[in-house]
Formats: sequence, structure tokens, C-alpha cells
Amino acid sequence: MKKLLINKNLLAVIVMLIGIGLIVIGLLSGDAVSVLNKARRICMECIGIG
Amino acid sequence: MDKEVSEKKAKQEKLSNDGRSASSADRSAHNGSGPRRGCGSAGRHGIQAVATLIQNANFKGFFTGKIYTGAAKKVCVPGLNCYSCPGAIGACPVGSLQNFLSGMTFRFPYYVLGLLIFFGALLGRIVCGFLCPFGFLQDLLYMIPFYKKNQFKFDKYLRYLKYIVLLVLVILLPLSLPLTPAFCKYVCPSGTIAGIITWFTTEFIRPQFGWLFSWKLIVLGIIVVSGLIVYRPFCKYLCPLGAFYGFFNRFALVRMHLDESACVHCGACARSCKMNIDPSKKPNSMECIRCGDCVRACPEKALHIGIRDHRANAGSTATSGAKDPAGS
Repeated sequence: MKKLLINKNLLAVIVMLIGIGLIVIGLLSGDAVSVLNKARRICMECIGIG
Repeated sequence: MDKEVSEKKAKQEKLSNDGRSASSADRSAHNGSGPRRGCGSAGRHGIQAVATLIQNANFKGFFTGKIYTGAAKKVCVPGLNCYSCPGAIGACPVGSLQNFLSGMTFRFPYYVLGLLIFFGALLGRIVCGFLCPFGFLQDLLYMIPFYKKNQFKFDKYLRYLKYIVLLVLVILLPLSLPLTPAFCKYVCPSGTIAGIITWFTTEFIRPQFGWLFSWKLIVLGIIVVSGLIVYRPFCKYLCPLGAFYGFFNRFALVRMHLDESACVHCGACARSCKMNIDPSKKPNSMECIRCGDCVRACPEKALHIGIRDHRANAGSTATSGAKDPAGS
């Protein structure tokens, strides 16, 4: 039973590491700059202008 | 052994009787009309308020209508908070995801997806219960004394709608129609609130608001009015972020642990749950937002939210997370 609990925590850690890996790949390929470029301008669709 | 079983049975009987007498109080708390439960939920609302303020810390933007353009906007916040809100200091994960998917040239959203997976695997839907500004707004709405009907016939069918929203409006439509963030454009109530603030603060932009804004106002109006009657209708039926994080609830690092040896199946947790879940059967249901009402309601302290099971740590014979029915 304790083993199952550890397995679930291990799974969570592995998935978190996958997430971190994707973040790093994204950062290296300039995704964060793309996010910034979109977020620093008013999104017309979001506020309902279209 | 027999003695143990009979003791447990007696305890269960006693608690069931108590539960029956307390059920009306539970129901009124459930409906939001009764006294609010202890400092626990007040503490959660405090955390929600702080999280909302931090995510919208560009306070002068609310008066000038100018949005924040600093480097912090490279980072997606975990909850639903429109990046076009004048107060927002971070990027919206749903908007950013759609921006990648609906670009003229397709780029896989490694960074945004990575952040969402990281938040999901760490916290699951704790994000909904503690960090999401729109979730906080709905919590406040439900506190307003009004006609309450949190359980109704089509509730369990409507819950599937959010997965359709995630698949169709957030993924498929932006992928197939370039430059169309369909969820943000037609549904997102957080964006509509940002639009309302912009309407009030930026005069020259007002003439550009047309039918789309009217449509979004209707959607927001429906969500707000239904939020007075039903607990968190947007989270239950429409939110694509909640749908996404729900997949992680079962194994997220911080999750619910049920000590089955302590549980007497009195039903207090199910009665206290405003998301209409029975935590004694599904402690890690995809619908659970980890508000903690069930933890506080449990007379036997059989429920616990954390990384490790508290009873297992204490060295008791608890079976808890081990036999975690885990939202299956």
C-alpha cells in the first residue's frame, strides 16, 4: 500500500520533470518571447472586439 | 477483531444519527445560506484574494487602461486570468496556448504545455480552489444570499461540456482556423471582464465594441447569474483549464488521501461538498477543486490533503492513499 503511494508520488515527479523538460525546450526555441509578444499587446479577440 | 468491527459500526451509527440531525445545517451551508464553516474556508479565501492581487498587481492599469508590458508577461499564470486585463502581470495559459495553435505557421507549444503539465502534476486542481482569480470571483458570487440550487438533474451531463470546450474551442478550432483563439473570442468570461475595464478606461476604443462584445456580455451575464444559484458553474461546466488539471488530480504530488480504516461512511464529506462529489468514494475525483470543505467536515479526520498521508507518517495502520480509489 505504501508502495502504491510512493509510485503515485514518483509518477507525479516524473510528469513534473517532463513538464520542466518541455519548458526548457520551449525557452530554448523562443516560446517565452512569443508569449510575451502576444501578452504585451491588447488581445482584441479576448476583450470582445474581434 | 470482532470488537473492532462492532466499535466501528457503533461509531458509524452514532455519526449517521448525528449526520441526520446535522444534515439540515449541512444543507444550508451547502446552499450558502447557512453559517460558513470555520476559519478553514476563510483562510482559503484569503489565499485566493492574495493570489488574485498578485496576478493583477499592475494596479495603475485599472485607472489608465494601459496593460503591463514587462518581462513578467513571459510567464503564464496557473489560473484563468486574461492577459489583456489592465491589471494582469502574467500571461494567460489558455490564451497563450491558442496563440501557438492558431498561428499562421504551426509551432508546438512546448513552453505553455510544459508549464500546464508542471502545475497539473504538482497541484492538480488545487489551482482552481486556491489560485484562480475567476474561481475566487465565483466563490464570492456564491456567498451572496440568493436562491440556491446546487444539485439538479442534468448536472452530471453538463460536466462533460468542459472537455468538449477544451478539445474543440481551445485545440481543434484554433488549429484549423488561423488567428482564431475560439475560446478567448467567444466564451472566456475573464476576457470579457478585461473588455469591460477597457471600455470604461479607454475612450477611443469604445466605438469598436460591437456584436462580439454583446455576445460575450451575454455569456458573462449567464455565468454570473448562474454563479449566484449554482456553486462555480464555469469551473464545473465550461473551464478548459479545470478540465486539463482534472486529469492530474489522480496522481498530482499534492492530492487527497483517504484513510479507509478511519472512515465510517457517515456521509458528512459528501454533504459538505459543493462540487457534489463523494470524497469517501472518489477522493481524487477529476471534479475536486481541493477546497478542503470535506476535510473540515470529516469527524474522524479520515481525509487529508498533502504530499504524504498523515496517518501513514504517524505510523498507524492506516491504508489511506494506498487504497486510494483515486477518482476512478
